[in-house]
Amino acid sequence: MAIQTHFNNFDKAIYLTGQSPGYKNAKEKDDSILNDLKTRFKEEGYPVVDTFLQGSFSVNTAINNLDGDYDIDRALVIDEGSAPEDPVKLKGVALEVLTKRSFKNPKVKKPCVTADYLSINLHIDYTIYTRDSSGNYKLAVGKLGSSVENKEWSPTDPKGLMDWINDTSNYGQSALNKRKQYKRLVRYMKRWRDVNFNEQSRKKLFSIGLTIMIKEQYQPDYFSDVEDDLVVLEKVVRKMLNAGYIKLAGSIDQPLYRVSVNLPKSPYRNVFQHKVGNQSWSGSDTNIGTLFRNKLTNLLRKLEEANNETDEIKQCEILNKVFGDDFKIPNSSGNKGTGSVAGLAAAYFPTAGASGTSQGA
Amino acid sequence: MHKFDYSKIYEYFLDSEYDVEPCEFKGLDFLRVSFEVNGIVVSLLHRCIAEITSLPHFFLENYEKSGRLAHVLLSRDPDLKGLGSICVNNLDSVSINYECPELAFGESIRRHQDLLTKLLTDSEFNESELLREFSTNWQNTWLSEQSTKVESLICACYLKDFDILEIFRPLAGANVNPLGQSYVAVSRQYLNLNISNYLSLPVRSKASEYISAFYMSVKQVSLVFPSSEIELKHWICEVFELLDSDARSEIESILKSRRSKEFWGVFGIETPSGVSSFGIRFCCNSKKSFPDNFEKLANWSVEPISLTMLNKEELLFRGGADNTLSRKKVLLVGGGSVGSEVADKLGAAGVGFLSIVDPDYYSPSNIYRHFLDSRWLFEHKSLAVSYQLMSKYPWLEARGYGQSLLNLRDQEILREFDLVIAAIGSPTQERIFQDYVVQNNINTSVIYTWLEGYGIGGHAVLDVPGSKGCLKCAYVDPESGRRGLASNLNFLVSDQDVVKNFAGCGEMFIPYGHLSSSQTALVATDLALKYLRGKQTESAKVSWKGDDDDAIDQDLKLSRRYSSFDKNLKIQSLCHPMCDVCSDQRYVVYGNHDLKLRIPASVVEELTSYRQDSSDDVESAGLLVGYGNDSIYTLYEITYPQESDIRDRAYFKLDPTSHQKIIDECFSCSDGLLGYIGTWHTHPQAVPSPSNLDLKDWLAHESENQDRQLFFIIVGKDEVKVFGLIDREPIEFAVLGEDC
Repeated sequence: MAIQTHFNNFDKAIYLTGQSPGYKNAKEKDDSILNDLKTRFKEEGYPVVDTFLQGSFSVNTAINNLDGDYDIDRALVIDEGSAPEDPVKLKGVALEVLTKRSFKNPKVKKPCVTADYLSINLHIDYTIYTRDSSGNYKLAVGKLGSSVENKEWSPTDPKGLMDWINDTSNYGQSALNKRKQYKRLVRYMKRWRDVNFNEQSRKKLFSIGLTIMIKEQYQPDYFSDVEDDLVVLEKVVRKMLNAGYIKLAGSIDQPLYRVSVNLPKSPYRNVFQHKVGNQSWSGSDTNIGTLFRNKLTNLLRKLEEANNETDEIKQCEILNKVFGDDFKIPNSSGNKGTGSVAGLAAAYFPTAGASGTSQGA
Repeated sequence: MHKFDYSKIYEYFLDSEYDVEPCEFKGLDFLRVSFEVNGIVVSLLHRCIAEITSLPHFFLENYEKSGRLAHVLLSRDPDLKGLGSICVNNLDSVSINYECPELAFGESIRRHQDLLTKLLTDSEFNESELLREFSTNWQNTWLSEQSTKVESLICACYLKDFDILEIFRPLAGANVNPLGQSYVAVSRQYLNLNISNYLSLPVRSKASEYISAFYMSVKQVSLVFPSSEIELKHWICEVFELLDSDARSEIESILKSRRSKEFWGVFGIETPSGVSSFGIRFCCNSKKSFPDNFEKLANWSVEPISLTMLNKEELLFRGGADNTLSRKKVLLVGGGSVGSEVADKLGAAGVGFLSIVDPDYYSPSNIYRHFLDSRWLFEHKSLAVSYQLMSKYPWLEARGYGQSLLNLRDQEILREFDLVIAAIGSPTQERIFQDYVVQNNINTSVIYTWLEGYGIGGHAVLDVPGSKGCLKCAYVDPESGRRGLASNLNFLVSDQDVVKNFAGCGEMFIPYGHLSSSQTALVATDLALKYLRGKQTESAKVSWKGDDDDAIDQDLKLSRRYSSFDKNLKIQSLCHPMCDVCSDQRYVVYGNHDLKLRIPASVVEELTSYRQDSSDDVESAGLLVGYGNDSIYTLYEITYPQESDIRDRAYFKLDPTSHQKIIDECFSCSDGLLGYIGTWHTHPQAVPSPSNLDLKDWLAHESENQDRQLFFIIVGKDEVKVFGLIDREPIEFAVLGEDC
């Protein structure tokens, strides 16, 4: 068995889709809240003209969370012509709907309305957009009680981002295989993050940041098919370290780092922010930046080690430490596939021949 | 019902060659498959369902972008707006393993991908497929949404270049069936009495003189269908422009002279699956000549017609009937329960001419096992059957005659037909009739079919003049070695009282149900059609065997054949080894110790043809097939050396399987009369004598076949010797003489 098989099994173990049975409860809640929201928005005079999933489910890079949480990012779109001037108005309506349902502390955040469900581990973000006749989106930005200058309908391109993630135009031969590989790498790296970072820092190392970095650094050869995941992952991680996402913030003596990743589509802002006082600044805080740099460096070392290893079990042992127990270590290599042949159809016997084999001289 | 678990599907395809992912479309759960065609990503969407009951269906995403594709139709479902519904043959007809739905998805994806790749990369294929589905698409574009408005028209005409048609109005009245509610357009030359009746023309009135109608075959149509009246005008003008100049001028000269307020155009376009037709109605408020360009069309309104073509070739082909049978003439003698069913099935198969002969009338006692309906009571069966069939099959010419089989001993009549079928259930008349056919060297083949009572079974024999096997073969009685009066195919022992007396003479009948007569008609018609299509060229027999419960209840005795018969519906050779007409009657007789073996002269010739005359001839060997009783055996035929045998100058070894297969076939065809009775082989000696190996082999054969006497023939260069084993010792049989 090649190492790729073990990666495939790992992928199957962590892969989560919006149609998975474990996710069904969450999904039913999503549907039912969505209906309430649509009704309320309509009553307010802002009918929802479209809704779509955003985030990892929309591009199929979602994985099973280690703690069993489910995240849904849902976009609600209203027509620009009917939109209220105050972008926060609708967020207030959404908050009202969520408060009436069994949510614990729903909040209006700057880009969205967010809530955790009480009975199940469901976390939902609702983002509200307007769309004009040419299909341009604007995001409702601002919190309840924000001053006018902190509230706006901010141009953004949510679908453009999804299309960018799914784009295959630079992949050349076997483009779809390459896109599948890219998405596998994203899932692996998300699991790597979940296994290697504590809960607090894990939440700050945003999935979208990883997704963009990997997309930008995944540069497969145009004229050949995919290489195996281990080789490619090593290349991508090395490029991530050297691509300038991680910038020195402290002094040489006391090196601290920030990580910066810009959205490839409107509004092109930095995914990572840190706060100075009440003010947000571009780039992560130095804590997460430094951690990320150290752990990513360590990951690269481990991947190099695994790539240099010829014994499959030893490779898996290394990768198991990196990715956790969903990356399985096989019992022994080789001698696989000689399973039982029960169920093999019996051969037909010919009728007994009275003439037998006749011979003579 | 809950949706089944799609996550298993996604997991299954994660490391497969396909790119399969979940997605949402208009807020509903879908499954998306992406693949590349010429470097462009094509996506298929499958709407998630609760239960897999057929091969999963897919839609093409972004249908509008891909241009017009055959087998893909824009979905009319508002939930699926913008998606193209893909038709990959009949998904229902594939039996799927619903316990492993991922395999069904894999199979369906493969089919969809293959089809779409072909359509997108091979524009010629796409065009030709679009043309093939022309009428379906035309129907979908125009008629499904507007069906209330447009007129419906049935058209019967030749599919030639151009023809003027006559229009008949719908029938008036409240109880008119849908056929009667349609307009009818016919071409004079195409009409026969049959079609005319079929369409009720005698009771329809002709449309007014202001309406003209025509059939026109067109060379090319744009496959982008118009969706408004103005587009339709442009579209049909383009069709006119694409006509070649000859056709155009011919049409002009004919249509220009006609001035009408309405023109009904029936157009035919050649497609890979035959001619597809569409109809357009042109209306104007004053009489004008035909508007054949866009300018003239300005004053006309144009609308599609819901058109149904009644065309022989097309309908026979689509209904599964055989156009090649349309010239065949069949004489069917007997219009009873079996005969009428045979007639119906021949009609459905597309046989063109059928003469039905029966002297009887249709009486109420026939109702429950006859094809005819009640309006024919007390009519001649032959006439009634022919009329009923003609009202069902528009291109069948059927005639009825009140005669009987023996009246048909007329060379002139019989030579006219491709096949005679006798379904009268009278062995005596059948044999007399067969004598006449043989004596007069009539070349027409005859099928005799009959059934036995109590659901026990039915039979058909085909007698092809000049081939091996004849009706007499079916009457040889093996036990007496003579021709019997009852057929050896029968499942009931002859001379039993099987007839029930219902009300004295004239009302006697053999009890059987309609299923028995239908089943018998099926085997007879199957044999007839195989013969008419040239698939069955030798005399043959076929039987079906039913349950014996009813016969046993009546204390009826069943024949030996009933218990041994296991070749239901299988067509077998008719030739009987003991038939004096069909088998060689010149024998060389070998004998010893009250035991005789008769070898037909023809078989002796065959044996000697294998003599090892030349020094490099290898040994030949085979088995003996024959029949016999305690003291006299008859060699019927020998098996020949097979490819798989091992053969040497002084050694051979038979391949048991291929020789045994021939033996088994003989055994089955003869209902167990013929069997294995020994072996033959050649020796490179002038006067052959058995070797030690031969003896050992013969003893082995004897121990395996203790129920019969075995014979062993050795063919030397000068003499043929026959041996038997008595008390495990080889005994040579002497030639006793010739017997004719």
